[in-house]
Amino acid sequence: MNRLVETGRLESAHAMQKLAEIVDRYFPWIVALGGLVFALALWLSFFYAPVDRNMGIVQKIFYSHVPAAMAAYAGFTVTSVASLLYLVKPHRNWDVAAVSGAHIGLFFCAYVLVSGPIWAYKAWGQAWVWDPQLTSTLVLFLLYGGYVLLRAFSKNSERMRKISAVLAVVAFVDIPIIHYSVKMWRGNHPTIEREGGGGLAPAMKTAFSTSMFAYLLLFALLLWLAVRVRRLEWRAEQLHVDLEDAERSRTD
Amino acid sequence: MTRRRDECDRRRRRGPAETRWVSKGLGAVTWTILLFAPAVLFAQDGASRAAEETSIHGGWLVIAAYVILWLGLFAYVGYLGIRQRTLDEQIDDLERRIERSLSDIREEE
Repeated sequence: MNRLVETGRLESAHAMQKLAEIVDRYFPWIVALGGLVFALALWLSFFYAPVDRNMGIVQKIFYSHVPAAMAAYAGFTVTSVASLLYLVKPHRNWDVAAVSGAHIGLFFCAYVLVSGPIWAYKAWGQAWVWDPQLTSTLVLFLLYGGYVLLRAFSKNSERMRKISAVLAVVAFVDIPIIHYSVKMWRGNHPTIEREGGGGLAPAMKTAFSTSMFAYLLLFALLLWLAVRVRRLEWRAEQLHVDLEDAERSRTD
Repeated sequence: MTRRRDECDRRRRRGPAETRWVSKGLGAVTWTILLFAPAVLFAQDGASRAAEETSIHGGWLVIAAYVILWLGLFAYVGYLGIRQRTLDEQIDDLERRIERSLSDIREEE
C-alpha cells in the first residue's frame, strides 16, 4: 500500500477496486442475463432459423463460428489498445487488461480454427485449405499465442512487459488483413454479409444477431473473470515484495 | 490488519462463487443443448448437396462443434476458479506473514 501512495497510483487503484465491487454486486444478474441470451440464441439457431438449402444442417456451425471470431477480434483489440495505453502510460492495470484480453481472444480464436475446418469438411470436402482468410487467422493465432507464451515464460519485468506490448500492437495489423483478405486475394471463404455477399434470410439474420450478442456477453464475462485473476496475481506479487521488505527491516 | 483479514476472507468466499455462477449458467445451457439439439439436428437435415459428399452426417459435425466449445468453456472457467482460489489462499498467507513480521518489529522497538 505504501508503494502505491509513493508512486501516486492510489487513486487509480481505488477506482479499480470500486469498479470491481460494483461489478461483483451485479455479477449473478449479469450471468443470468448471459445464460438467457445464450439459450435464446441457441433456440433461434436450431429451431427458428431455417436449414440452408445448399449446405444442409452443417451451416448451423455458422451461428457459433462467426460470433466466436468476433469475440476473438474483441479480445485481441482489448490486448492491443491496452498495450498501446501501457506504452504511453505504464500502469499495471493496462497490462492486466492486455494479458487477459489475449487469453480470451486466443481461446475464441482456437475455437474458430477448430469449428471452421469441421464446417469445411462437409461444405468443401476437405477440412483445411490454404485460403487467405484461413491462413491469416492461423497467423493471428500464432502471433497472439507467441505473446501469451512470452508473458508466461519470461521474467515479469517492466522491460518485458513493454516488449510484449509492442508485439501485441504490431500483431493487431493482422486483423484488418483477415477481414479484407477475401476481397483482396479472393479465397474460398464465404462472404455472407460483407464484401458483396448475398446476405442472410430474415430468420437467419435474427438468429445470427442474437448469437453475436450472446457471444460478446460471454466474452465480457470471461474477460472480467480473467482480469480478476490477473489482479490477484499482481496483488500476490506486491505482497511478496512487502514481505521481503518487512523481513529485511526486521533483520536490520 | 483485522479489517484487512476480514476483507480477505470475504473476498475468498466471494471469489470462487463468481466462477460457480458462470459454471451454473453454462451448465443450464449445456443441458438444454444435450436434451434438444441432437433430435432437432437429425430431423432438420433434409436433402442437401453437401450431405452427400462426405461420410459423416452433418448433425454429428454440428454436435462436435458445439461440444468442443462447451468443453473448452468449462475447462477455462474451471481453471480460472482453481487459480483464483489458490491465489486467495496465497494472499491470505502472505498477509498473515507480513502482519507477523510487523508485530515482531513493533515488539522489538
